[in-house]
Amino acid sequence: MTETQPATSSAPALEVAGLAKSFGSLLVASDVHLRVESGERRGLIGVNGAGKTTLFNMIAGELKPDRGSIGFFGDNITRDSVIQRTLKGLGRTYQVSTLVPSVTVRENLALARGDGRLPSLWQPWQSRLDGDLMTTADQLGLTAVLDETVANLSYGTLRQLELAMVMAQKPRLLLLDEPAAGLSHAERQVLQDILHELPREVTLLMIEHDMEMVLALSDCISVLHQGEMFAEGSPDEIAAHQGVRDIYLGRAND
Amino acid sequence: MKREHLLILAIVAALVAWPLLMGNYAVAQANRAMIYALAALSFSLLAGRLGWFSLCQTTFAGISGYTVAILGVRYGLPFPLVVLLALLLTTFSAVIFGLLTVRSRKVSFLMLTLALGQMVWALSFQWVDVTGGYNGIAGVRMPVYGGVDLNDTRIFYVMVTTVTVAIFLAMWRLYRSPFGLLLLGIQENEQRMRALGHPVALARFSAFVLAGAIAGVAGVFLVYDMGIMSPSPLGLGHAVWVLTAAVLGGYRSLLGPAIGVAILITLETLVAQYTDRHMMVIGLVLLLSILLMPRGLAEVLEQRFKRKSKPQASVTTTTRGE
Ligand SMILES: Nc1ncnc2c1ncn2[C@@H]1O[C@H](COP(=O)(O)OP(=O)(O)OP(=O)(O)O)[C@@H](O)[C@H]1O
Ligand SMILES: [Mg+2]
Repeated sequence: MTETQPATSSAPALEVAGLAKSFGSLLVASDVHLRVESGERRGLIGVNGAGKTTLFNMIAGELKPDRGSIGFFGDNITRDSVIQRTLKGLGRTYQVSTLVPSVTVRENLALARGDGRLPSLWQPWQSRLDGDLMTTADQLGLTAVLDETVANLSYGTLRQLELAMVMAQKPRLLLLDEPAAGLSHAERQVLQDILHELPREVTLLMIEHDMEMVLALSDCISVLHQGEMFAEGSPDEIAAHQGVRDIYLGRAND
Repeated sequence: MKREHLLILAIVAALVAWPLLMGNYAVAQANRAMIYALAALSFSLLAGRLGWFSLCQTTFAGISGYTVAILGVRYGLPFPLVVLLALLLTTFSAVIFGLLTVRSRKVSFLMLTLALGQMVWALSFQWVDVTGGYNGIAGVRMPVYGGVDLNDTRIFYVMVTTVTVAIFLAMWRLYRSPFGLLLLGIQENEQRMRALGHPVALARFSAFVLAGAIAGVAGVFLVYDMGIMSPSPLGLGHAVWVLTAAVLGGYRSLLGPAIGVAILITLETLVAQYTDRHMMVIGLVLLLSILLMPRGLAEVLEQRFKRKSKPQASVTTTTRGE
């Protein structure tokens, strides 16, 4: 490392501090703190309605927090727009995949990797499909369905397409909202292998209900409960954590 | 050679043959049809790609037409300059309207374009000093260059056809470009396009300005075709006529608006020969066709076309781009 280089390499990939959000009288986040180191694989769990997706929406800029700040590799992005965050290297998938239903998988892939500028009005759209993109699509098992209309895809394939599109963007931080939901056992295995093999330049923050997968992939797991981070620790610690077990068994409110 | 290239060749051949085989009246009708096809294309670019239904595309044609009439007849500026200024002013108007509408959603977009269109329409008959009020500005004519009268129906046909074909071909490229695809993506999943790093507002705005410029070209030809500029082309009736043609033909496809205009003009001409109540007959035909072909005639034709051809990689783009 040269002396001119700032200390950002040690800055966390994500630093959420004091984040709060309520929808009317429903308090979804009261004081959320979350620090994810660069290169880390972090699992985010919590019961249905705990506010996990809402937290992602705030990190990605689709929802404005009431309070708090969001740091991204040492850069305060709290006020950045969605597109600015994307261009800085934040990528996400959605719990409910939709994409562009009326066109083919290939055409959707051609829409990946926006660069903040207006795309060509003259070149054919196929010119945006390069070897890199097609390799990613192939890894995710999309080769056979490239010419299918997205509206006709099975749910599992749709999830794979969504993942291919965000991975093509080569994000520095990848937020995955329940990537395994709706996948068959075999598809889950493929997904797990792909995520396992992601280079460490990509930091991963993953919401997932499939505990087996979370435990296998994560370096560290955070538990969101009642608007705050309830616990944080290694997969073994979380699996053994009595409080976390109670939440999942519905006894934490007693 | 691909099927779509054959289709383009067939259309161009038909357009070349038309003035050679048909009489003056039919050629004049074709002129009018191509002008309205451009207006309907302008509408369809927004409706089909972005899901934005505009009631002010004919207003842009009107602004263009008035500029030609005022600068050409009142101020006697030379023809090329008049046309250039008309297109510039129309594009500038589209920029202003675009800034006002770019953040709006479907219904509010429709209402905003209605309001803007009605404002300009009102201006066109109330600002009598400039526009000549209801009487309009008569005597709008193209020049005679070296003994060639550009107003001659067949000469005019050559000009309109060349420009119309060029614009449709350019749109054919645009519909299948990443930009065209992005517009569809915005219509169906705006949030996602943003998250993928695309400038959604800029893309919408660009499409709007482009559509305005196309309508401006239609307006230039319209005013020279009519020889007079009056408020009526800016009225709601014209906007709805163009919308009807686009829906009838299929505004999602490239040729749909042209097909719709051709059908509507043919119907009007035919039915008017037999009955005074031609609007009722046309209304009935419209009602039936929209009930039977909600996505427009062009897409019905495409479905047939598709069924006959083998499924291949380019089919889906071909059919939607056409
Ligand atoms: N836009 C919104 N407006 C109002 N309420 C919302 C909105 N988004 C989420 N909520 C509510 O906030 C709470 C948290 O929702 P969220 O989707 O973040 O939960 P989650 O942890 O992702 O749950 P799940 O595991 O079911 O996906 C829920 O009660 C939900 O109904
Ligand atoms: Mg959720």
